[in-house]
Amino acid sequence: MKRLTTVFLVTALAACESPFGPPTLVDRLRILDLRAEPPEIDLQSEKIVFTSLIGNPGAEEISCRWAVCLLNIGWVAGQIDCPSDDSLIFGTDCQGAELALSDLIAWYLEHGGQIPDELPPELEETDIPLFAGLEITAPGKVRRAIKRLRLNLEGDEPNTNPRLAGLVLEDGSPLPHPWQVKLGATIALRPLVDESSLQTFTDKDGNQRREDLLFSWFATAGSFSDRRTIWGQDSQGRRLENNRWFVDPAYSHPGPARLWLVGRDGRWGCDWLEFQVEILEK
Amino acid sequence: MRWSCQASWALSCLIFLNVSRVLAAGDQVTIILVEKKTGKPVAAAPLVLDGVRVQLTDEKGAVRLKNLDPGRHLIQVNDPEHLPFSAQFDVPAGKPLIFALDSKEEEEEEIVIRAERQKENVTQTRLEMTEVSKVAGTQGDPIKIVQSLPGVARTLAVGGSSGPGIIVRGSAPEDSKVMLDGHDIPLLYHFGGLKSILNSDFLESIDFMPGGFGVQYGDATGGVVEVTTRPAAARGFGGYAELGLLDSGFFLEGPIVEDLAFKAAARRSTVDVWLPAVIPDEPGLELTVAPVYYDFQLRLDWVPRHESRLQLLVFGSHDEMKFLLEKPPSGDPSLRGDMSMWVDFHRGILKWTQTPTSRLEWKASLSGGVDRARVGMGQQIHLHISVPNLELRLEAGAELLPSLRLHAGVISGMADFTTSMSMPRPPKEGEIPSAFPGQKLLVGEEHVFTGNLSAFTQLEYRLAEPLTLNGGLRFDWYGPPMWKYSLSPRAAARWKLRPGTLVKAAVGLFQQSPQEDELSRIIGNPQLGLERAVHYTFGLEQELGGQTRLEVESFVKTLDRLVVRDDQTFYSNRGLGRINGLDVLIRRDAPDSLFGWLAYTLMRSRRQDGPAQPWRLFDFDQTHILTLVLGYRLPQGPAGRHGYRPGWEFGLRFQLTSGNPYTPIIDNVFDADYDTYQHIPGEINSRRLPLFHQLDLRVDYTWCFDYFALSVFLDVQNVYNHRAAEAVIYNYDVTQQAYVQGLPILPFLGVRGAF
Repeated sequence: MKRLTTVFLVTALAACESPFGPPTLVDRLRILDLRAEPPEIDLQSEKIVFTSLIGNPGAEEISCRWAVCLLNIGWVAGQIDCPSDDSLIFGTDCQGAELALSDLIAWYLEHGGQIPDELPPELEETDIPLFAGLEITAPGKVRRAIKRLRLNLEGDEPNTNPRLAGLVLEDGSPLPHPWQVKLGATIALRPLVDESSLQTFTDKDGNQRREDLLFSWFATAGSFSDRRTIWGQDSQGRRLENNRWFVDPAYSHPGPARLWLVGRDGRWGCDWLEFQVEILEK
Repeated sequence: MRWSCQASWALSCLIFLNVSRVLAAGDQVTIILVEKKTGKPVAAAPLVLDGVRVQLTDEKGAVRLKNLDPGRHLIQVNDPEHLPFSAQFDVPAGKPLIFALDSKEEEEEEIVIRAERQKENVTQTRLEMTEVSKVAGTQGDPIKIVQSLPGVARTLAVGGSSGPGIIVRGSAPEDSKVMLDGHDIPLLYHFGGLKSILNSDFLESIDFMPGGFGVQYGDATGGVVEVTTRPAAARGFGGYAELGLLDSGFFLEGPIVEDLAFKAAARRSTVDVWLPAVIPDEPGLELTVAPVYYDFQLRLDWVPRHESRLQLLVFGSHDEMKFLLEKPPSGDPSLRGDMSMWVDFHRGILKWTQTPTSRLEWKASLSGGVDRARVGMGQQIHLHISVPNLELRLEAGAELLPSLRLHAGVISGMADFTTSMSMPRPPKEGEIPSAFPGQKLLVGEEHVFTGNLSAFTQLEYRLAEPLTLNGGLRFDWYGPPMWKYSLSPRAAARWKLRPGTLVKAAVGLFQQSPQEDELSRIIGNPQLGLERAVHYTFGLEQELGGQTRLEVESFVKTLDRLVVRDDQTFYSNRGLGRINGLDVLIRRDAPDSLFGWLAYTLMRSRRQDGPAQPWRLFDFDQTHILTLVLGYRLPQGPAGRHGYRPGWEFGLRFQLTSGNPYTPIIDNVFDADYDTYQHIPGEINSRRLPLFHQLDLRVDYTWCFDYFALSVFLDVQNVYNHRAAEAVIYNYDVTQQAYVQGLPILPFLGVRGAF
C-alpha cells in the first residue's frame, strides 16, 4: 500500500508541463513519425512499405539505414540496439523503404524465431518482439526511431492507417493559400479526419470500440498550446482536437516555416499532413 | 517571669514580623493546587511562600493569603504524593491563581518503562510528546520529527521515498517497520508524507531504533519506529478544536465512569474546500474529487485494579483523490480518462496488561482490521487490493533473579489478500522505468490466504554492576506462498565505564519477507526467499552535564538475498548490499527551557543487483546528513487547570544533506508508435543531485484563562525559500536537463482552543 500512493502521485505529476522550450518546435534534425503500409501484416502479405516523416530545418546532409530488429523492450530502460550487427538492413533511402515479407520471415527464422500455426491463448501478438528501425546519420549526430511490426495471425479484420482530411481554422474556414501569418499571431486550428477510416474493433475485454485518434503537432516556428490533442469532445462539449499555434517571436523569425500534423489511431496506424507557412513581420 | 515575658514578646514580634513580610498591606489572593493529569484538587499540601511556610491547602486545594505585597512572589510545594513544584507569579487582580502539580506515581511509572526499554535495545531514541509537539517544520505533527533523527535520510515532502516510509541507515523504506502499540500499521502518513494519520495528543512517545534492535521486533532489516499511545485520563474532561488551511479536527478526553475513561479525536482535510477554486478551468481537465483525507482515533481504558489495564484502541485513515483527464498531457500520451486513488485502513487493538508483582508483567493484545486500496489510471490501468487481517500478540517479562531478566513472546497473524490488477510491473530501487506507454500490462486476479507465527525469547544478564549482557533468539514462520521459516539470533552488551559514560555494542541477524507485489503470482515470483541483514553496532554515550548528552555510534550492515529483477522469473534473491556509517547526536532534554539536538550521520550505502553486476550506490544514499532541532519555551506563568502554560514558544529546524544519487540519461530512441522517447540510461546512480538545505521556524503563543486556553501557531517551512533539486528531468532528445524543484516557502497557520 505504501508504494501505491507514490506510483499514483508520480504518474500524476507526469501530466505536468515541461520546463524546457516547446517540445513541438522542430529546430533541429528530428524524426517525427514512421508509417508502415499496411500497419498490420499477415502471412499472406507480400511486402511492407515504410515511409518516414523527418524534420530537417537546417537542410543537413543525412544518410539513412532501415533495419528489422528483435528488441526486448521491457519494464526497465536499457540499451536499444537498432540497427545492430544482427539486424536485417533493407533500405538506405531516407524517404522510405520496402521490406519483402519473405526476407523478413527468413531472417526471423534464422535468428531463432518461431511462427506458430495458431497463437496460443496466453501469447499476444506483441510478444513477438519484431521492430523496424530507422537510423539517420548527419555530421556530428545520430537519430534513431523504432516502430513495432504488428502481426495479424488471428484472421480478424486487419488494421489500416487512418486518413487525415486536412487542417482548417477553428471556425471551419479553410486555411488561406498561400498561408501567411504574422509574427506574434495566434491561430486556432482544427484537424479534419476522414471518419470512414476510423475502424471499429474488438478490444481485449471483448468490447466493440471505435478507434481513438491522437494528434501530434509540430512546427519549425512558434509553439502550440497543447503538444497533443485527441479527436472528440470533453464533458462540457468542448472540442478536444483543436489547438492553438502561437507564432511566438522567441521561437520564430520571418520567412518560410513548416507545420506538421500527425494522427495515430492507437493501434500503430498513422497518417500525417505537412503545410508550408510564410511568417511575416509584425 | 521577666525573661519569659520578654521572650514571649520578642517571639511574638518575630512571628509578627515574619508573617507581616507575607501579609503586608494588599489584596487577598486565593491559590488553588490541582493535579495536572486529572484536575483533582490537591488537599493538605504544604505551601511555602517566599521561603516561608504558610498553611496547608484545604479540601478544595485552596489557600487564601491576605495582604500580599504587590509584585513578584515565589511559591513552592513539596507534597509527598507529587513532584516538587515551584513557580514565580505576580499578584493577580481579583482572580484565583491555579497551579497544576505532576503526580509522583506517573513519573515513576514512566521512568520504569523507559528504563526497561533502554535495557532491551542498544540503540534507541525516545521522543516524548511534551518535547516534540511543537518542533518547527512538522506542522504540529510530531511523527514527522522522526525524519530529523540521526541515521534517517531526507525524503520528499509528498510521495515520500519510493513509497511513503522512512529511510533508516541506508535501508530501503519498506525495510523498516512502523508499529503502533505493538502492531504493524500499513501507513504512517496521508498522501505519502503530507500529514501523519495519528493525532499527536493520542501519543505518549515515539521510540526509534535505527538498527540492532531486540528479538521482539521481526520481519524488518532496516529500523523500527514504535509509537505508543497515551492512556485516557480517568478524571477531568479536556479537549480542543483546531482549524487550519490543511485540516481541521478535534480532541476530547475524559471519564465515563470510575476507572473507565475515553479519548477521541478526528481530523479532516480542508484542502478540498479551497483547492477547486484556485485550479484553472482547463478544457479536458476536471477535478472530480479534490484531495481529501481524514483520520480518527478512539481509545477506552479500563483499570479495574492498579496492576491491570484493559485498553481498546480503534483508529482509521482515508485518502482519496480523483480527476478526469480527457486531453493527453505533454508528458505521456497514454494518460487519459479517470485518474483516481483511494486508500484506507481501519484497525482495532484490544490489549490487556497485567503486572501482578513488580517483577512480572504480561500482555495480550489482539489486532484486527481491513486495509484497502484502489488506484485507477485511465481505462487500461488499475490496481485493487483488499486485506482483512488479524494478529494476536502475547508477551511476558519477568525478573528471574535480581541480575537476570527474561522477555518472551508469541505472535500469530493471518491475512486474506485479494488483488485485481492491470498494470505494468513497478520499477525497483535502482531501476529506470522504460517509457510508460507501450509497457506490457500484467493482468489478473489473485487471492491468497496466509498466516505467520513468531516466537522470541530474550535474556538480559547483569554480569557485574557495570556490565549487562543481552542475548535473544527469534523464530519466524511464514505461510503461503513462501512456506519458509527463519531463526534470528541477536546479542548486545552495555558497559558503564564510569558514571555518565556507557559503551555499547550489538550484533544480530535480521530477516524480512519480500513485498506483496514481489510475491505475486501475476507480477512477481512466489518462490522468493527471505531477505537478510547482519547488523554490527558499536557506540558510546556520555553525559555532558546540564541535561546534555553525547551519543556516538558506528554501524555496519551486510545484506544478502535481496530481491532483484530477473529476466526469467521476474524477481530472484540474488542481490547484495553493504552499508557503513557513523551517527553522532548531541541532545539536551530540558522541556521547560531550551531543548533540542544536533544530529550528524556519515554513511555509505551500496547495492549489487546480481552476480557479476557492478556495485553501485543505493537510490537514497546520502553521504552527509546534518540536522539541528531547537526549541525554546518562554512561559509567563504556571500551567492552568487545562495543563497549558501561557506565553511564547519558539522552534527551529535546519537540515543539510547530500543530494540523492541519480542515473543519467545519455541517449534516446524515438518510439514512433507512441510519440515518446525510450531513454537510454548511463551508469546507475553515477551522479548526485546538489546539496539540500532548509530552515524551518515556528512560533506559538498561548493565552490562558481559568478553564480555557487559546493557542495560535505559525509554522514556516523553508524560510529562505530555497528550491531544492528533487529529481532530474530531460527534454525530449536529452540535450537539456533541469531539476524538479522542491516545495517553496510554506507557512502554516493554526488556531487551537483547549479546555
